[in-house]
Amino acid sequence: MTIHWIGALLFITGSSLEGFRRSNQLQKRQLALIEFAQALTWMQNEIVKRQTPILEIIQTQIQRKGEVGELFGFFQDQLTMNQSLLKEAWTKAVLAYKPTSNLSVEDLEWITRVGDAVQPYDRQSIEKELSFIIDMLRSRHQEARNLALQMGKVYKALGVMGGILIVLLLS
Amino acid sequence: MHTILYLFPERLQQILVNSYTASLIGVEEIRIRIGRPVQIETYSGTEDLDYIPSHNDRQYVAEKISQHSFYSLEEEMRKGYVTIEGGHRVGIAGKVTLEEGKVKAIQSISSFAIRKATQQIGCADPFMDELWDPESKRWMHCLLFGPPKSGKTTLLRDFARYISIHHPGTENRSKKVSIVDERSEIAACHNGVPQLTFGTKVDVLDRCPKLEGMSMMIRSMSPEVMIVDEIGHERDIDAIIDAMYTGVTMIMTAHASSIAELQKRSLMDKLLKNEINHYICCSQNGYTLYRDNREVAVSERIR
Repeated sequence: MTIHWIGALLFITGSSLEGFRRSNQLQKRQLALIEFAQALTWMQNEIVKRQTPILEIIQTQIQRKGEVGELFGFFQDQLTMNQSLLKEAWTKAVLAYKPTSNLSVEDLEWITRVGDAVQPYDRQSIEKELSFIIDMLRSRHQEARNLALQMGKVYKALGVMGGILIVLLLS
Repeated sequence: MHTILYLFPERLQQILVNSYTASLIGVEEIRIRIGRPVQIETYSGTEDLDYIPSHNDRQYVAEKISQHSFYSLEEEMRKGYVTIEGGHRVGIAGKVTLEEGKVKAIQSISSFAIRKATQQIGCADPFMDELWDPESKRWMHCLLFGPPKSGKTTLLRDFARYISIHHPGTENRSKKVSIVDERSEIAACHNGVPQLTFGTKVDVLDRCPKLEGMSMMIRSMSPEVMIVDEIGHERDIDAIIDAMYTGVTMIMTAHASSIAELQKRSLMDKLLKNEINHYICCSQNGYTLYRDNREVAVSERIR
């Protein structure tokens, strides 16, 4: 009998944890999106107004905690250790960062476009391209925030309820 | 390894190291043209390497020159050359884009001409006694002229070094030197700090236009000697004459293959007749110092 109770408890805990994980992921995604939008806005200002070289920008971005710092860390490795070209280094860095990221595949596609955006010679083009990406990230952040508000609680409730349902069905 | 080598893809680096060592001994200029063999200009002639650069190589070199930040070189690209760490000058050619009739940028780069900067310590020594006025205890104005690649900047750099260091045993010839380095070629500054050998009395205004730079230096650094490279425009000469009237000794360079050619430029004639008694003719073979049109000292060029 005790074994049954332990089993039931495990099912409910496991299912609840999955619900909380998914809810948490929604929260983390919207946080990551706003962090990226802020980091890219800073980067845009540095490029357009101060012409700061990309390696100096990386040094500052790496100091940021969270996913932005992680991605720029991979980017630095690609540029300095693997001697990759800018666009290739950025694409490889996004790929290396993907497994630990909370962003969706579509979000990552927008982030990947940064590699193209900082390539041109003239800063006006860079400003336009980065502005477009930043706007998209901000709009995706708004969607992600709404989704987190709507679905966060739903996932948590579904997790707990799902566990209980499985236990009831099995008993 | 020489800083220039870091600009190139690995295979080209190896070819260059095999032929000219990691210090690029004897190399004066490296020319990279897409689809044509890499060309090396040495003191003894020109050699084609067994390496044909591709579009990827072009991208590689361009990114290395700009440290992956093309946008940071927007102004330099407009002028057609970039000065990299170490004072080496990279000339760029390709498709130019215009805005309101003026060059906006060079896109689709097709050629790079990488000229190795050299520091020949001591090359100015044979002229220093001639340019020192023991009565006024001042250096005298001097103009260095010659065609491209004749060693003008190398000699100018050594003047700055000599004048800014203390020479034990001689009368106090050491003076405060201000360098207005429009293209980062004279002092090869990196983050504003000169990378080449100078004395303790050198101040450098890096990447600053000559006109503004000269007046800024006079106002702020009270120089005794001012060094400027490649004067030519009338407004440059006007500014130099003004600086001379403030009591600053001017040492400068100009592009010209002879004095006659130099005098054809407006205002240059005035400068030569009224203000400058000393000029040095630079050539591939060496340097000749003239005083009042008479040859007073000759020096062979050190390789």
